[in-house]
Amino acid sequence: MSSPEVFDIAVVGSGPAGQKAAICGAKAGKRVVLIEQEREIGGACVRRGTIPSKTLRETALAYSTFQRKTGGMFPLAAPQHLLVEGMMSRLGEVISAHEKFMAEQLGRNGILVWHGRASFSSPHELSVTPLRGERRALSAGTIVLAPGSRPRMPDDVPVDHEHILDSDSILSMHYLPRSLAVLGAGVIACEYASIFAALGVKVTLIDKAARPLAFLEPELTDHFVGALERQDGKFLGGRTTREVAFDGAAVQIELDDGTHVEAEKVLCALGRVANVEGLELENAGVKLNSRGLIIVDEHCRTASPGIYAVGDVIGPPSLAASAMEQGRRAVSHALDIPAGQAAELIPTGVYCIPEMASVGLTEIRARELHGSVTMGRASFAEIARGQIAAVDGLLKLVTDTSDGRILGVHIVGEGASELVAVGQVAIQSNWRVEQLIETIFNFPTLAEAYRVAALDVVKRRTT
Amino acid sequence: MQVEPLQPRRLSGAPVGAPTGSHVTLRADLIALLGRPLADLPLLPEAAQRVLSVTADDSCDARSLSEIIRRDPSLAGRLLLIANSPIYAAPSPTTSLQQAVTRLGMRQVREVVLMISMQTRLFAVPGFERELREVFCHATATALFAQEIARARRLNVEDAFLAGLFHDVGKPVVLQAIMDAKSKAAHEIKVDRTATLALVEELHPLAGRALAGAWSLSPSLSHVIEQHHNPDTTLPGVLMVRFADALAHFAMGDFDVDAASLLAHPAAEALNLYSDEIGRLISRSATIAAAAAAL
Repeated sequence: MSSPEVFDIAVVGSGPAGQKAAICGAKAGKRVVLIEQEREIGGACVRRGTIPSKTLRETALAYSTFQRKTGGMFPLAAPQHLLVEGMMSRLGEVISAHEKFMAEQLGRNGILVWHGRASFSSPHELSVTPLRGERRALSAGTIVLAPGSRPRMPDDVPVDHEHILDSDSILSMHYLPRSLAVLGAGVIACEYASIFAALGVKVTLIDKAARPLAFLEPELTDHFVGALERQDGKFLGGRTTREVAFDGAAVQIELDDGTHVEAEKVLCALGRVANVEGLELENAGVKLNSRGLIIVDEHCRTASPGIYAVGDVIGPPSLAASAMEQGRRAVSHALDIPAGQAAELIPTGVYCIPEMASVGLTEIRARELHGSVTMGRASFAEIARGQIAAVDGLLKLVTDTSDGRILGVHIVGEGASELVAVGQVAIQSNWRVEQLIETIFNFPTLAEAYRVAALDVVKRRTT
Repeated sequence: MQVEPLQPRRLSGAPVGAPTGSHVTLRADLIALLGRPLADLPLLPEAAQRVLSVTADDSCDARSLSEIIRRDPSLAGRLLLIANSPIYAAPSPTTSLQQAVTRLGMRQVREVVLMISMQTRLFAVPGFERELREVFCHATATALFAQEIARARRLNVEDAFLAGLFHDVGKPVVLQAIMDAKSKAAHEIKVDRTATLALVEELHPLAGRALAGAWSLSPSLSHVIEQHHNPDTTLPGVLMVRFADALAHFAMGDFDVDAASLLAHPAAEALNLYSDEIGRLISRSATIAAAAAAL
């Protein structure tokens, strides 16, 4: 192996976290190399995660809402065998546009991209194994680990990527199955469950938790379960799987309470594991916790000086937005650049059908921290835009009773992840609920729900 | 001597027109023949057609499927043999047809029936039994390797199998067309065995495409069959079959393919397969070769 090429910053992984770290370093005038084991940059987010699933979701959403939104004026009959790839026909264009943008951004900032697998040979030296040919060595004062994660494969679920799939292989299906059982009730599980249910697949969502997406407001998840049931799906909560097996014709699932579920296909979405194998972290002194995640401090520093870890590899919230911020903050810290106050307020968007979004405190957490809190709600059915667009949904405000400060905003319904931005700014600006009442929103918009919910808060406070 | 292009009916024994006397003209005739819609390509056996039809029906169950297969003793026997082969290794021997159907699953039964049908109907050109037997074994091994690659790259596993199985389906078609032309020509066509096999090698993607059209195989599968020798392709389905094809040659003891050439294979590189992943595929060689030989 040749002598190490010297860089200021080396970033392992080109997903959202790695890209932002690399760009932050390059913009500070540093020599940066980005190492990616796949041929394409962007990480799982681009080819196996966020972008493909959201592209399919758009089709499912349009299909499932078309009749309602057009008042049944245009008959719509789905073909008997719907092609999954056909429903993602725009995916190629979306990915190409995204990759072009990313490549141009990296190129513009003078960031080198090495294609290969990285491993530590010492705390500040990496060896990069390309697909073919000689290994290359590099050294860097700062190393940022952003290798991402992959679906967890539990020992008792025989994922074969044919009948029992994971979130990486689910979109390789050509035809929609008649039935789908989804193991797990986290973000990925619920997103796919609702997408396939909207496309007419009979979906059974199974999880040990009593309700799906337990980190969200129960009112939102109740809404989600209701929508799933209206589409002939069901949620089997509080149950664990005893056996999952393909019997030649279908997948048979036995649950611990004796319930039996049969499905043509199964999606195993029981969490993700960090991609740390092969990095040879022991050569760098980087430590893992009991869940196999890299241990970091508030600046994303690992146990080894000069080595940072960001994104899925350090665990929740495992959102692209937070990962990007972690990447930026890690490099800012390494270069002693002021990064601003750590963003405590990160919105959560769950792209189910219906969409859910949340920012700030839940009702329970607000009570714990603030004592007396007052909630206000607005149903989209009360809002002109909701009636016109025939969208169902709810916006819930959580406020501090003593001073009217907005503590949390929780939304379920179409456009929730866009709509939550208003609440995010309001919370960051320490707005009181009265300021939402005084704000003139465009008419008709779903944003009016903020005003209606704020009026509801005031009404509850005074009664 | 200039000849009229071969007519489609020739494949099933229609009268031959003008004589052809050279490899060059035969080749030109075959190209012209395979470039047109073929009215008389080999059909799938009746049992296979019924199995395909039944397995496409959502309400199909193992019992009704095994009933259809039972009516064709040859098919039934081969299916049991396959259900007990190493690739479908089960904890206990499969003894009944319904058990075999249940164990293999509807889709695999469909694939196996296609495989057997191809072998019995297509891969039977007198004088070339050994070559076609090798082609069939190679196709089966390619199908099994393609499945493994699909799993590694999270591509569609079912499609991978069919693409591997059918990638060389044009070979017996070309061979049969040559035999038909030779046997029915008014004058002797001087094309020796070596030249015949060279024509088969050259023209089989074209013939495969024609057959895929006649059998109403999916456009993506038809594309893989036609393009699997195209080194410039970037489509994952074609790349997968190209590399599975090389792995199958290696597994079946082809001296032209060794581990080093597999590690350097351009299709493997395009599929982003690292050496350890290729090593895992190579380690499946003995099992897959045994399974292909057993079919």
